[in-house]
Amino acid sequence: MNYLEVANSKLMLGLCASVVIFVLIQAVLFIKVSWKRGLELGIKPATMKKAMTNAAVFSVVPSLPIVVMLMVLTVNLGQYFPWLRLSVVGSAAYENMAADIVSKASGLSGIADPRFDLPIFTMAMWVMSVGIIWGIVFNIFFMKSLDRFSKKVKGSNNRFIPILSSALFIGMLSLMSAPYITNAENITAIVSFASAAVTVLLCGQVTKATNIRIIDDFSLPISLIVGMASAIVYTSIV
Amino acid sequence: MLETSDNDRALVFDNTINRLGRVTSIISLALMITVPLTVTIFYNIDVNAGEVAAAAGGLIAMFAPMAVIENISYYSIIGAGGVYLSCITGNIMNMKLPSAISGMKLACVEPGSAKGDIISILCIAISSFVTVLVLAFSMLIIGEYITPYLSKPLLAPAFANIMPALLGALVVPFVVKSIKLSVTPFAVSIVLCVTLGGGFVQRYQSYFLPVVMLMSVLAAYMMYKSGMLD
Repeated sequence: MNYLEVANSKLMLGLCASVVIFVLIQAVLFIKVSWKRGLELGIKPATMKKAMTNAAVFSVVPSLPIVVMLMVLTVNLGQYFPWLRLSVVGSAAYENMAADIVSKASGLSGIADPRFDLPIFTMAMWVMSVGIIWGIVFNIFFMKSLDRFSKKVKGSNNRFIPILSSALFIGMLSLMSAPYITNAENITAIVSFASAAVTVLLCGQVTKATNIRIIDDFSLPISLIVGMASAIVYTSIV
Repeated sequence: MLETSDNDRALVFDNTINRLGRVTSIISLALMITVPLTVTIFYNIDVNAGEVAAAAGGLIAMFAPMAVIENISYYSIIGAGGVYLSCITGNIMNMKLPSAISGMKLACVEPGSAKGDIISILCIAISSFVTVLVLAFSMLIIGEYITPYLSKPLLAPAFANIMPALLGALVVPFVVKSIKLSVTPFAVSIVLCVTLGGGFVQRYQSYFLPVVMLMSVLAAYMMYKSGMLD
């Protein structure tokens, strides 16, 4: 039997859809519990809605490259399994790498090899599924203890705690940014970084000057698109 | 008295989130494993566990330590609920973390605070929803039509630069606001990239993360103690 018949079967659709549907249910449950707690903490419903709308609008743009990757993976792995993998833990790069490792371990040249068959496809599903679950496993066993410990430290009501959070935050973002801003060979990335930065600051200023809140409310998606667009502009000029 | 009841409520919420996080993580994990398992049994395929372990071994050796370090690092910013959710839906760096950070900025709450954790959960849950819906739509209907447009060479530099654009938008407002806290981590990160190469730092980012975060905290603590942050 051709593995693609299995990969595109109703059974596969059902299996994959059940995971995706559960993930949506999980998101709804978390929203429900957190919304209630947010009200308790005195966060205005309008504020929560605003943050959520911003997240929704913003998330469309980084989802687009995943769509492209989905279509690429679909050619060799069928419609449903790549859809599942990219909807849950997977990232585009990881899924490709995992599938590639399996095909090479089975003596093929890659996932596009015509000898790719049902046993290899099944093995690829296994490897793709178990290779990247460790963040979830860690959470199941250790997140509660980490949370308890951290809350205990924070409970000491120390004035340093907010500074600590900021320091951790900027520590992470500075390490993530540095490879882009120090790479003189990839000026396009520096242009994107700088133009997105300028845009986000401008959004703040414009909002202050005009009092049109909506500009600042969507400053992240706006800056992201300006940053990406300036990469196109820069590449076409140079 | 009021304070005790506030603390009690906080505790109740923390317990609820951890319970919800654990239970939903276990169910998602079980469902994910059910996919290959069902196919293996249903089509009676002889899968060699040794071969799977050998092929997955390299990936596990690479991703398991990263997962531990990253989750602890992410926790400090998006809280337990945020980490439970984003580990299941993935795309943390390029989507979940930015949407949470931006949401917290909009709501004027600090990362790592009780309110910050709530906003993070709401933003990450919505972000997961959007990705899942966009992918479902793409798979079922629009994928074939929009892929030719999205794969146009003209757009390639835009998609290749999502990360720097995101980081520029997230980092710079913070640096402007807290320049003193930003100096040390940026100096350390830039020195690392210049001496070791940016590619190397990116490849082993998970291992450099705790180092830089720790140095950032130490510098902040010294400034705090010496009254420089007042």
